[in-house]
Amino acid sequence: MSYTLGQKQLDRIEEILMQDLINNGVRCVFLIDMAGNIISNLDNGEKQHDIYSLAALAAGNFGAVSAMAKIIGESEFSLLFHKGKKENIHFNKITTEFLLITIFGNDISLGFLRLKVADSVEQLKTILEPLLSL
Amino acid sequence: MVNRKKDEKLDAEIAKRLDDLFGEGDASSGESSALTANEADEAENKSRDQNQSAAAEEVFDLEDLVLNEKAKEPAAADDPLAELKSMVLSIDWEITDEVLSAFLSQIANLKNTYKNEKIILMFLQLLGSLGEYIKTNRGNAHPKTFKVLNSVFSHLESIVSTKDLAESEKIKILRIEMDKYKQLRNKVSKKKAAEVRKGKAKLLYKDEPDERTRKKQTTDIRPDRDSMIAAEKKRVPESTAAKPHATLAEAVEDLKQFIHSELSALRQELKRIQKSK
Amino acid sequence: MAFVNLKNKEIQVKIVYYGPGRGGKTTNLEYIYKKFRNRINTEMVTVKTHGDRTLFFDFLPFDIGVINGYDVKIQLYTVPGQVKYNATRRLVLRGVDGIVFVADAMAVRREKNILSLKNLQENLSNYKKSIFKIPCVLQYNKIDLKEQGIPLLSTDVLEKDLNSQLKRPSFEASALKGTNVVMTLKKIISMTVASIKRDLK
Repeated sequence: MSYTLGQKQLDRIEEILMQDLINNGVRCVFLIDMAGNIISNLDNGEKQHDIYSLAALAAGNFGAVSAMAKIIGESEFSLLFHKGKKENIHFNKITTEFLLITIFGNDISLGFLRLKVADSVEQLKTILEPLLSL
Repeated sequence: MVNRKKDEKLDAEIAKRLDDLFGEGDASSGESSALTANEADEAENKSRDQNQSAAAEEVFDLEDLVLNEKAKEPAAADDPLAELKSMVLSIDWEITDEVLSAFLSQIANLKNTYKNEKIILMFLQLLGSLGEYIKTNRGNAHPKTFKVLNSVFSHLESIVSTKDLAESEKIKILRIEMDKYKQLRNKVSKKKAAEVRKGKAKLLYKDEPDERTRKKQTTDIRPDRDSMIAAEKKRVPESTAAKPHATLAEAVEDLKQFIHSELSALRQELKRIQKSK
Repeated sequence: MAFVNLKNKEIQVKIVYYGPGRGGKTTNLEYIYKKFRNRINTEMVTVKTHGDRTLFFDFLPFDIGVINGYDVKIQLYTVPGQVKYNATRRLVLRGVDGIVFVADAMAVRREKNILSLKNLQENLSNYKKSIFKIPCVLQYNKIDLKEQGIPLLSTDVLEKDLNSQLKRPSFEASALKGTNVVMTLKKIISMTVASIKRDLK
């Protein structure tokens, strides 16, 4: 599947991620496709990660977990979240092709993050869904 | 000599097994690696010994496990906040209307249970207020709300579970939690004021990103004065510079009034915001 | 590191198919799986992109039966070959016991083969393993393209590029048609099991 995103769309994506997530305390957020390619990536300026490896591994991880879900008879899991001592990672699928990965500290509760991510996903869908029908 | 024969035997066994599995009639390539039969036998003997000691250990471990499980049973029954706790934990993971309604309902029940214990009642009022705020605002709630909620709950839990805790200690803890609640309220009003001003000025978001990516500092935006002034008028000073309270009952009464004033200020703000939408 | 379960008398052997992207690693496993499905009796797991490129790994486990009192279970893995998935490749290499290096015999892929082998060496050293010590077989894949007139590297060139120092068994193959796929597999299994037996002493 190939898709093309114009500058306006990319700007809008960044705006959504900034408004809903970074401004609410999320450390780092990236929107990737299922092959691990980074579409958009924002952080709060504190830490720099190796986002290319992160993206590839995140996509692989999500793929592996999806395969596990099918083995146990689930079509997919509704929550994929890894809790660390200081940093946590949350995954959210957007349509069948994209993943939103958020990295956040313990100052944000998971429940609150999930609400914000859900909001972002709804907005991002309006930009990304039309690409799939091309 | 013997070793080499045994090696070849093993190789042959592997090759035969693979041939059986993947029998395609491919011509074998011929090369085989050397293996020492002695090593193989030693490994087998080692494993047999280890099996026996492992089996003995297993039996011991199982008994231990059974004893531990029995010890666990009696503890769970007596916690009056158990249900509320599970809801607080649940809110931490996922915020839904059902959980929030159940949470508020449980708070109401507990208020009844503890109607004669003013300090606990106040904790419950704080929790109720936070719950209402989350329910009304959901994703627009201030991110710190959940931390304050968890903190208030965990201190309530410690007060309820600690026997013979002095009243003065309880009040001290309550004051700390109320401070946190107040700070949150201030942050909420600042945030709302900022949003209202942003909305009025019709600023495009694009102009602001650089500022926002830096670490968040307290903004220079003034909080909404009206509701704060109303709260301030009714506020009872609670710092160490405040006049000392004659009796414990008076202190409790003052705190009660303070909470009521804070809650009504919060309600007024919510109404104002809803009107401005 | 082979996983040995002394209680169940089981040995798990991990063999990884490594090589440049689109070289034929997954095709090797798919051939084995399709051909011997009835005898192998296990499912193949693939984590791939929508474009059918390996994203994480392909995985095919099977039992080869009891050898010297131990139930030997083989686990075949492939890695994603594209350069950008290096972190993933490193992950899949963890605990590897034997390697099949699937080189692409197409002339245009010459440099990619060399870079991939170097990458393998680096990733192995991450786990303090040496490419010179680990059981390894080289496969020069896509020989079937000769009849289509596509320029291929000769075995001499491939040997010189990839095997002059390693000096490992090598096979010309066609993963698509199945030529020497099984030979490669049998060879790596023998070598790996033998090496494990040695290490177990």
